Amino acid sequence: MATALFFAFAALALVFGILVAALRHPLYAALSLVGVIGCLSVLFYLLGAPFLAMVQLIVYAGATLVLILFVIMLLGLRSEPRAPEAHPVQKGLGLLLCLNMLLFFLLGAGTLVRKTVPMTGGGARSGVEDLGRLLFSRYLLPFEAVSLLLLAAAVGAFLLARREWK
Amino acid sequence: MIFLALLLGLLLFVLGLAVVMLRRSAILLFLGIELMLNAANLTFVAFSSANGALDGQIAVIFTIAIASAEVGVGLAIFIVLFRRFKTQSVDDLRILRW
Repeated sequence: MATALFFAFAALALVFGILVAALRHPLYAALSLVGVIGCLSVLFYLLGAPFLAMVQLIVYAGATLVLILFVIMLLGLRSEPRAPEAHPVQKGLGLLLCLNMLLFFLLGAGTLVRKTVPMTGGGARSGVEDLGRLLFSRYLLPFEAVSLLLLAAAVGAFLLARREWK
Repeated sequence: MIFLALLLGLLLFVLGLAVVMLRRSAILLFLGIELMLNAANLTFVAFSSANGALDGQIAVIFTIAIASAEVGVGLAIFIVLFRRFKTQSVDDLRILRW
């Protein structure tokens, strides 16, 4: 049951991912990304991370993507009439890089992972309590650093996007 | 299941990379970066599940926090640039180049 669900949502996530790459209208692409994030949330749950599944839905889909959608609608962005295209050389090199990356990870890193990581799965389901204990003991310093970063980002975003920017 | 998750993570990452490489619209570049971040998150969770250790999930929490900070500042910069130059194509924004 869980495996069938996993296959279904993995396939759905891949379809939405292809849509993100294929659609030119920013609004439609962003909505497809919301679909990817929803599917990944289900996959997180099935992989034994229920807390991250909810964080993914609430923070990523609920806050980050809504912010992007808000900006797209605020500025009234459409796919530009003269579709902005990359230079042919740039395009070729970019595709080459993508293909390179795909092959490298599929062949090189893939065999390494298969040798070193136990692919049995079904790891212990993690409670929120264990996650919280770890976050506030071993990872306390990075946690505080991230809170400082978020504060700086909030102030910076506010300063940058004010209307009377002189 | 874990192998499938890693494969999906790889495919989503390459799709995001393709968006960043091939699209010239700044907002689509954002979406590509978000796609890559999500692919990395999925890989973290898959490895965490394979090892039975929670450190990977902690890394995902940090990634999500940093991604939202990045999107906030990036979109603010994008709004300023769009208001001033009336374009969303990154190729038209060349005042930082010589």
